[in-house]
Amino acid sequence: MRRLRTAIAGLPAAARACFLLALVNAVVWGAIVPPFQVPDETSHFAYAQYLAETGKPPPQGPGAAYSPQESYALQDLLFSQTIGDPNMRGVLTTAQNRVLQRDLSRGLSPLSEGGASPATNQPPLYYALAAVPYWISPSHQILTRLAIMRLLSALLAAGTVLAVFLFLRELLPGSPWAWTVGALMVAFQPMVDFIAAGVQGDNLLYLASAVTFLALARAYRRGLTRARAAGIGAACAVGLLTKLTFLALTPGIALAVLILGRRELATGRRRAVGLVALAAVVALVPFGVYGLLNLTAWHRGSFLAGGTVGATASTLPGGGVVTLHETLDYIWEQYLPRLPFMHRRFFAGTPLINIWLNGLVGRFGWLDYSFPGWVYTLAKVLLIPFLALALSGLLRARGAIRRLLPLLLSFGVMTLGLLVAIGYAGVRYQLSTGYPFAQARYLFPLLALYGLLGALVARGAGRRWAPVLGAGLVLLAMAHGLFAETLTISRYYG
Amino acid sequence: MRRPSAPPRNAVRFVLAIGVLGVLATLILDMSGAALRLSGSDGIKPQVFATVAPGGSTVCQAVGPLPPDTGAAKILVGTYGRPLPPLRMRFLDTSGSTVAAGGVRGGRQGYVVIPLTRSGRLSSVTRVCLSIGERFRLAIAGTPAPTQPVDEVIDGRPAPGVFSIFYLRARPETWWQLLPVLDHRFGLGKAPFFGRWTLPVLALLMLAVWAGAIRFLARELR
Repeated sequence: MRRLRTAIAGLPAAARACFLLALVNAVVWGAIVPPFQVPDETSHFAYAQYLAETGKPPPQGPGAAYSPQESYALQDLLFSQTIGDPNMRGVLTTAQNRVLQRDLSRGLSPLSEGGASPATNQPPLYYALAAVPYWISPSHQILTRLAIMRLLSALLAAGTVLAVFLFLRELLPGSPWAWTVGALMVAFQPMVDFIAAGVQGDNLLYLASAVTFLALARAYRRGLTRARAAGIGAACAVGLLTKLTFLALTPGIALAVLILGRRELATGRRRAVGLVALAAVVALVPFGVYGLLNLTAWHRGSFLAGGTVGATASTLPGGGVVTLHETLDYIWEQYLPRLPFMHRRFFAGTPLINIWLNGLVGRFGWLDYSFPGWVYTLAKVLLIPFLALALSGLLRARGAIRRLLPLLLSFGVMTLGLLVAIGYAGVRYQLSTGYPFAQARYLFPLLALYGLLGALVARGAGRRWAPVLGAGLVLLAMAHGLFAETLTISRYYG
Repeated sequence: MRRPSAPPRNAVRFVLAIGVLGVLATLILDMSGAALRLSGSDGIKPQVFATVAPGGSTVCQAVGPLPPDTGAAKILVGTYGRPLPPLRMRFLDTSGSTVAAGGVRGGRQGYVVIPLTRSGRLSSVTRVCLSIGERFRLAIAGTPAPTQPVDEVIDGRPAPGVFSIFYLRARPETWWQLLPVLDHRFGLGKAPFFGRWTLPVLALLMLAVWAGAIRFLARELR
């Protein structure tokens, strides 16, 4: 506890301020968004509740995924009627609320059968953490527990913002204003806050990813020590035990650790190899234990509990297979314009705008409400000057970039790994179900780079004007977040 | 080596001040727009045109109690390119007495708002009937699968779908006027410790975040 207090006291005051602002902002979001309206919150809560009640992750059998408590809550909250149509509302009258509160006070069982849901094939770390607020909740009523558990997500989001601040401090040590600008742009990003509003495992994934970026940047700048190698490994272990999406970042992380190890060769080959091995052991041993528990004590079917099956299976329900050609075409088209030799058109319009940019601007709820169209047009108009400024910022920082090139290369591989993984899973999902797969939030393991991009845009204005533009960018992010909040209030309560 | 010149004095503060004023003006403008606001719905999504009723027919279906602040009903209809026929909507209680009713004489296809006049307790409503005038058929949006086998009837014969009704408050209101209602609704459908205090406290917290962030930026980005 004393070490934690010392560590907090050692943080720059600006870092503590960014953390606090992000925390309060995320807590506000958590109170605005009605229960279970964050994407997949139903499944994430069910997983956490099962784990809290039984001490183990769901076995994913054919039984019910939701407890009787949650099923009644969803029914009385008019959940299935509310999602999918922005005109539909949940509980709006005292009479509806009375029915809800009466049903929830009936002593319904909090125990489900641990049946399969979209979340159950993921590792249990987030849900184990969420079990703590579940247990310490002053009431056993499900909605009280959910509200308390949402505070954990707010804390994780604030932790992510802190990690982004410290990451930028390592990368841009001469520009303290940039640390604040990048961190606050993440803190007020409304889609980040929307996910942080709910019981959602992705919040720990975002934190683990941001801390990994920080740990790698810190070790690159200050040298790899035993503590830093263990830190990189620990951040990876948290990511791997949170969501298997983190696997997509591991090739880039492995490259970064090898680069860090190579730089230590001058201090002795044995030491360098030992440090690389330490990072790998700290990252992989807990993951291995998780896999063994899946096979033995938890009886979850396979080493990864089926966590990669949906994303990697190539056989389609109709009997066809997803070919390598289709996979490569899909991955390309998901981000870039289709080339003439590509056989299939997988996306209407321009995914770079429709999915990624518009998704970052805001597709809220269960993807059922958005800003008015002109907001997305404005974002498209602003994209060009922002990218030009970011490019200018990169050119201005070319001296620093040259020094950081190996590290940035590994960040590039991490990014590429995630983009390819989204496409690889996406083509299988889309060809199996007919529904689109990608959402902008799938990029949020790269929030550290989003903060860096914000700082680079401001830097593009030149040293003299960079803090001024930085202030403008943060204000724009805050306004974006504020109007997303008013939009959310009108969606659910208006 | 030449040192880069510092930003103009107070430039950050100027940008922040202009920005805050702009946001405040937009917020005030946004909240001052008046429109008919929702009081609830019959819980049926307008997914497809689930009910097709011939001209001169009456479509009835089971419905729950109306929210107490309901002053109008809104349905989504298609007329196959023809003008909207006269429509009359009646909400009935278990004895078949009319509790609220209203109608429109014509108009265009799309969302149609039917102002209602009350003659009983809205909480006693169990059924709604929509009478369609003239001889042209009308498609009404709703859900194709009925929740019960005889949920919807057209002229007394069972029909396959149920139609969707949105309930509206009586008069167009700005968000400022709706604030007490929002305040009330904010405490519903959540943990019991939430209540009427929630929205004002959240507003104060949001204000604190904004004030704190602006002050922090003005200090850090000098």
